[in-house]
Amino acid sequence: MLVISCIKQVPDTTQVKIDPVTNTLIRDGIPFIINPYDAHALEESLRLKDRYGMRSVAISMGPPNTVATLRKAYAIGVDEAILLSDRCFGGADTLATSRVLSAAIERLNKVEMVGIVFCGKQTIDGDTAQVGPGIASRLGFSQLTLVDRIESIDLQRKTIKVRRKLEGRHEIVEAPLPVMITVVRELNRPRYPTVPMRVDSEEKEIKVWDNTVLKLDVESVGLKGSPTWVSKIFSPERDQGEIIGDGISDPVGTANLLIDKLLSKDLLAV
Amino acid sequence: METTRELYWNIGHGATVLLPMYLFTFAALGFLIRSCLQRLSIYRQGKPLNRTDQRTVRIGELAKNVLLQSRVLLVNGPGYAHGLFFWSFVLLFIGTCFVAGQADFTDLLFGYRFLNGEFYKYFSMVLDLAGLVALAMLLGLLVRRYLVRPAGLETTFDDAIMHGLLCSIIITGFVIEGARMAVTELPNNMGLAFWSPVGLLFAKALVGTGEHTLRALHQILWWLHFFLVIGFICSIPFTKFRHIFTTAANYFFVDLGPKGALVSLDMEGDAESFGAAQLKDLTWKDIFDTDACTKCKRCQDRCPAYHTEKPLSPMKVINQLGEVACANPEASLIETVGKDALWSCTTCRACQEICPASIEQVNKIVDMRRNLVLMEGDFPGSEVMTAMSNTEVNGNPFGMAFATRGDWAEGLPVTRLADDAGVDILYFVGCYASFDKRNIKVATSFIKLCESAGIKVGILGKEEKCCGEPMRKMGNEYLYQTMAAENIETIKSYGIKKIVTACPHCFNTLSKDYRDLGLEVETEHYTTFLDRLMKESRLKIKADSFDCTYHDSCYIGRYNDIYREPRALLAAAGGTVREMDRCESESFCCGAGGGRIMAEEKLGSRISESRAKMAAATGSDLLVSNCPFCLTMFEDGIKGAELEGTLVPRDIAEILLERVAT
Repeated sequence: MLVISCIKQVPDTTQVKIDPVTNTLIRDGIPFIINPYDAHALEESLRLKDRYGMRSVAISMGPPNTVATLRKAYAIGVDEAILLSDRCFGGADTLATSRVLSAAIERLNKVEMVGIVFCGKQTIDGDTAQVGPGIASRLGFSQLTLVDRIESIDLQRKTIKVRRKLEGRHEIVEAPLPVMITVVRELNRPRYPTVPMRVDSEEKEIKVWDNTVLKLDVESVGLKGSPTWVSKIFSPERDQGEIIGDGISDPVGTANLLIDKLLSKDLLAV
Repeated sequence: METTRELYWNIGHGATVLLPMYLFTFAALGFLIRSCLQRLSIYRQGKPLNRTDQRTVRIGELAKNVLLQSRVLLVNGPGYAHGLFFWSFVLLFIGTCFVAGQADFTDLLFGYRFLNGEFYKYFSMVLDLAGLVALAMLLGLLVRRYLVRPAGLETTFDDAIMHGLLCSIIITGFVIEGARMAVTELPNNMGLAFWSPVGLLFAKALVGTGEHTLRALHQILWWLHFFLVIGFICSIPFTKFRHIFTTAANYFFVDLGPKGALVSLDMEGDAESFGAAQLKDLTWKDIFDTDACTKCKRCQDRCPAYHTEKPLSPMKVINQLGEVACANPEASLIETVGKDALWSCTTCRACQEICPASIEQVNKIVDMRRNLVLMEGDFPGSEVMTAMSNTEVNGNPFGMAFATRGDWAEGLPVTRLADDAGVDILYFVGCYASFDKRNIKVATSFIKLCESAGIKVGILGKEEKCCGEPMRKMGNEYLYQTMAAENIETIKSYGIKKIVTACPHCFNTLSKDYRDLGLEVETEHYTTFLDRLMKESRLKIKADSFDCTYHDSCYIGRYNDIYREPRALLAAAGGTVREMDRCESESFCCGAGGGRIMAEEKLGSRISESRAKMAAATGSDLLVSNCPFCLTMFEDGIKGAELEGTLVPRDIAEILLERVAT
C-alpha cells in the first residue's frame, strides 16, 4: 500500500516582503523551504512506513529547482520522490494544481494501491487550504482535514480513525480508505536527516513526470486551466495602535488593562 | 664508632633470607608487569590515535607533572597532601633501593659501602622525615576521606586497601626502626640515634622491653613489612594504585593542542558510522583516560551542570566508560551515560583544565553527541532541531533572513567586503551580534572603537554564515562543516589578512577549528586586539573610575588562556575588578557553551542564575563579560535570580566606548 505526501517548495515567507511599487513579492535572496505544514505530512507518511511497512512516496509540483526539496525528502527516508514539472503546469491555481497532483496519484495507484494521501493543511505562500480537498474530490477519496492525530488504521477493514483539531474542540472521525488527510503542526515532530541518509539521498533518482507522462489536457492545467488568478498583492494599511498603561512602573496593572482590552475586542476566550 | 648501621640486622643475610625475599619481589614485579600488559588489550579496543609525536615535549610534560606534581598542586589542600606524600614516598623508595643496593650488590660483590659517615647521617635523617611526612599526609587524607567526607567524594573498598597498605607499611617501618635502635643505638650510640628522630621516638617507647622480645618483634615486623610491600606491588593493577603508571603515562600522551580543538570528521569519506556509539568508536586514548582517573572529583566540583543538579558528572562519565571498557565492551555508550547527561555538557572545559590526570572529558561527550545527531537525528529538544534547520536554511539559528545579516551595520563606519575588500581587519560578526538587539549594541561599540583608533573595518554582511560552533559542539559536525566551508570560501575570496571577532566562540572556531578545513588567516579576539591598540596609543581610553566584577568566558579563558588583556582594558577604563571566587581558569560557565545557547535548560536550576548570584556576591553592581552568549545568558540569569536593579550585565566594548578619549 502506498502512502503519498504532497509537498510544496515555498519561499520562506517570514522573510518575504512586498515591493511597494510593483506590488509583487520580492523573492531575491529569499531561501526556499519545504512548506512547514507539508513537512508534517511528509513525517507522518514516514511514520506509517515505519509502522505498517507502507511505501512512502513524496510528490511535488513545481519548477525544476524543486528537486532540492525532494532531495530532502529522500534524506529523511521516503522510498520514492517524484517531481511533477512542465512549463504548461506553471501559473496554476488550486484547481489546476489539484488536477496535476491527482493525475500523478492515479498513475501511482495503477501500480500499487494508494491508501493515504497526506497534505499540509495549507501552504504558507498561498494560504488557500484548497489543494488537499481538491485532490480528494478529483479522486473520490474520503477527506479528513486538520488532523492532529492518527488514532488507528485497520488494514483488514481498510478504515482509518483520526482526530481533527477544531476551534476549541477535537473530533474523532473514521473513514474508509483511500483517504486524503490534511495535517496540522501538532500531528508530529518532523525528523532530522541523519548523515548516512543525506549521503544516500545524493544518489537517489528523482523522477520527473511532465505532461508527456501525465497526458493531461493542456487547457485544464497551469494558467490556462485556472479559473482564479492573483490580480494584485499588497500590504494592508495598518491603523496606528495605541499605547495603554505603563509597563515599567505598573506591570501588573498594565497586563490587566491589556487583558481587558483583548476581552473587549473578543480576541481572547476565557 | 662507625657512623652506619648493620643492614639486615637481626634478619640475617644468608640464602634463607635473600632467596625468598628476591623470589617474592621478582614474582610480584612479574605479576605486576603481566597484569599491566593484560590491560593493554583493553586499550587496544579503541581506534588508533598518534600520541607519541613531539617526544621531547611529551617527556617534559611527564617530568613536570610527575616530579613537580604541577597539575596535582592546582588544588591547595589535598593537592599538597598528595604532593608531599608523593615526594616522601619517592625518597623512601630511593632509600630502600640504596639499602638493597649496598647490602645485596656493592658490598656483597665488591665490598663497597656507601651508607656510612656523614652521608649516612643525612640519609637517615631524610628518610626518617620522609616517613613522617608521608604518614602525616596519609593520615590527613584519611581524615578527609573518612571523617570530613567532602560532598561527592566516592569512597570504595579500593580506598580502604590503599590507605591500609600505605599506613601499615610506614608504621611497621618505624616500629622496625625503633626496635632496632632500642637494641643497638639507644644503649651504645645515642649520637647517631639523633639522626633518626622518628625512629628514636619509637625506640624510646620500646625502652623497657627485653632484648629477646624486641628482636622477635623486629623480625616478625620486618617480614610483615616486606609482605605488605609485596601486597602493594601486586595490588597496583587492581586498585587506583594503577594511577602511579596510568596517570604518569597520561601526561606523556597529553593532547598537545591546539587547546580544545576537536577532531574534524571526514564527512565525505566512506565512513558508515559517525561519532561514538560503542567502545570501538572511541580512541585507545579515550579508554586509557578512564584508567588514569583516580576519582578525585575535581572535575565534578567544577562542572556547571553538576553544580545545578543536572545528571552530568564528568568523573562519572569517565568511570562509566571505564566500566564498559573492562566489563561490557559491546554496550551502548549513550545508554550507559544517558542522553540527559550528554546533552547537559556546556563544553566549558573546567573539568579538563583542573584534571590532575590530564583526562580529556569534553571530546568524549561531543563524540557521543555526534553519534546521536549524525546517526539518529536526535537532539535535546525540538527547539534545538529548529535552530539547526534554521541554520541550514538561513545560516543562523534564529531563522532570520540571511539577506538581513548585515542590516545592523547600516549607517556605521564599516564597509561590506563585497563593495570594498581593502580593509585593515575583517570583523567576523557572528549571529548574536548580527541579529540580537542587545548584542548589536556591543558590535556597534566595537565598530566605533575601531573608528576612533583609525582601523578600517570590513564585514561580510549577508555573505557571512554562522561559524557553526554551537552546532558542532552539539554534535552536528555535518552542519558545522557546511557552514565552515562556505565561510572559508568567502573569506579566502577576499584575500583577508586579519580577522577580529567579538565572540569567543567564533574566535576559537576560526582560529583553531577552521585550520583543519583550510583557513589560515590570523584571527584575534577583540580584547587582545584592543589591548594592543591601546598599548600602541592608537586607541585612547580615558579612565573614569568604576567598580565591576568580570566574568571570564570559557572560550576566551580556559580555551585560549586570555585572562590579562580584558582586565588590562578594564583597568585602563578606570575599572576596579572585584573578582568572583570562581574566576580565571576556575571561572564558572554562563550555561551557553556546547550549543546549549540553542537549548532550553529544562533540568535542574539555571546555570546563568547561579553565576549571576556569584557576581552579585562580590558586592559589585556591574557584571562585565566579553562574549555575546554570556551577555545573553546574564540578561536572563539576572532576571531569573531576581537581581534586576542590583546587577547590570555589560560587555567590555560598551564600557570602553563610553571612555574613548577624543
